Amino acid sequence: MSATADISPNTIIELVRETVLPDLPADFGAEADFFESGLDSMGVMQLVMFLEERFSKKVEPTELSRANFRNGSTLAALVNGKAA
Amino acid sequence: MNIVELIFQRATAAANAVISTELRLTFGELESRMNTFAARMSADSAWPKKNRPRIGLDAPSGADYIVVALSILKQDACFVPIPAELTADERAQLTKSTALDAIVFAKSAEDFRIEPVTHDSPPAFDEAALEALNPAFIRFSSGTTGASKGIVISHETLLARITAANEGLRIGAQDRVLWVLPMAHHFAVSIVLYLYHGATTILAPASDPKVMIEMAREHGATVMYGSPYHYTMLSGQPDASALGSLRLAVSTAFALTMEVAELFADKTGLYLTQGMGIIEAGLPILNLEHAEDKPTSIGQPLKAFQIRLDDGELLLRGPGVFDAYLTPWQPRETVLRNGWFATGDIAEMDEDGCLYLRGRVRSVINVGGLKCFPEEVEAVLCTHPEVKAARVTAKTHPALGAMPSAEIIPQNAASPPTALELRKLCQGRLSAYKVPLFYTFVSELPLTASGKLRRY
Repeated sequence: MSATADISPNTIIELVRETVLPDLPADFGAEADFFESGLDSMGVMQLVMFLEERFSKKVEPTELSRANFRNGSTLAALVNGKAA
Repeated sequence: MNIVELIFQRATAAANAVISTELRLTFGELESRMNTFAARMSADSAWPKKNRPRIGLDAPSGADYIVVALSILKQDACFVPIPAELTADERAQLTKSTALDAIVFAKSAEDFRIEPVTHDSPPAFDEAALEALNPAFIRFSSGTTGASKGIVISHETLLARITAANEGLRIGAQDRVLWVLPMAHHFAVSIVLYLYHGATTILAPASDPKVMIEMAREHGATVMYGSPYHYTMLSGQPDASALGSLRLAVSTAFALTMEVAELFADKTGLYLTQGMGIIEAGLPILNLEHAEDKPTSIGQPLKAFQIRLDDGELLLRGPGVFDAYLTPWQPRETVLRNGWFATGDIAEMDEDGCLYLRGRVRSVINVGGLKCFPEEVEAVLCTHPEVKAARVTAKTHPALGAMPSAEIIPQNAASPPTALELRKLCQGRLSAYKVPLFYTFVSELPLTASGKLRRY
């Protein structure tokens, strides 16, 4: 994705809200914790499949860490190919 | 007979029973915490004053889930787990169809409340017949139209089932089982099996592979239970090789692919043992002999079980098969065909007698181990005024199994409803795992010769 514009944390939060956490508050910040807002392992599985399809990216086993799915910033970094 | 009494009669008080990130309990401590909780619960004015009340449990997965569930069973109440993913409608349906007498909401064994439940009409099942079974728990399962059958398991059946399963698993006091699956779906058989056989259960957070490995290492895990998703996640950790010291890693919930089996073996040196756990029969089939050369097989039946293929459908016979379906009331004998239980799974057997699952007799999608019936989801989609017809099928992934995906024929092709609207409609009515992940708009759907939706 690096050749095109990066996906922003807010876009990611919107996608997370649409797909697995419909009750995220409107002011949910880029650093706010998805797991504390109810993201469970089924939700992570759904997100992986959804993001892979949406962004034509394969999430590698090494990237399936809790840290990468923690918040809008970390997940945007993962999708943008810049995960820690 | 009460399975909880047997567990503590057999247990060594000083041995570790449960270890979680926040709590560590020996069998002695578990028993005393259970007794304290049970006494508080039965002294509560909201606890039902009747024989064998049916008690729903709404509690997060964790060490205290075990404490509370055991307390319910110990008082000869019938335990009905309420999974967290249910929507309000689905909960109401569970509450009504199992005719719950009360629901225990327990954040922990210290912080709980009991809510009595009243019903407009008497139970739809034979209450006296249910009581006569010595029921330990009722597992609510989603049916084709969303209606639950309710699977009843007695204390005796539970014992028969964990005894038969352990002829394959061989879990004993020397074992420490690393556990990452949701309690509401697995407590009644798996956790009870570990406790009964004196093993330690290590409860690790389901989405944190780093902590899973740390806990496995710190507590010397010998056995693990997880899905291909968990094993994929673990394979990605830099110190995945620490799991090579497990003596058994069971893969369950959905199909293990060659890709995941080889990835895990490459990182840990250990081949995953696929099993077939089904709520109606426990763990009748486990790949103990051919994990290495045939990891995608579910293996061969355990000693106590016989299997047979009937026109491709897997039938099995053995100890621990469920006691009854609750609604409509059907005792085991009326469900079995000449003693055989029809699993609904299509299977194939190779020259070594190893079984491979090839799909379902009916159109169910296995989402992370949970059943999603496309008809139920399609019916919800079709309540949208702009939807003319819908088809829900499985979209598959090598490490994640299957997720539902929807195709929609809109009423008006020029102005189809948005995917977001349809998703919201489903989220309001269905458990999250049943909500389609993908929505495509089409002008026609494939039909079978008889005019039904073609599903594969």
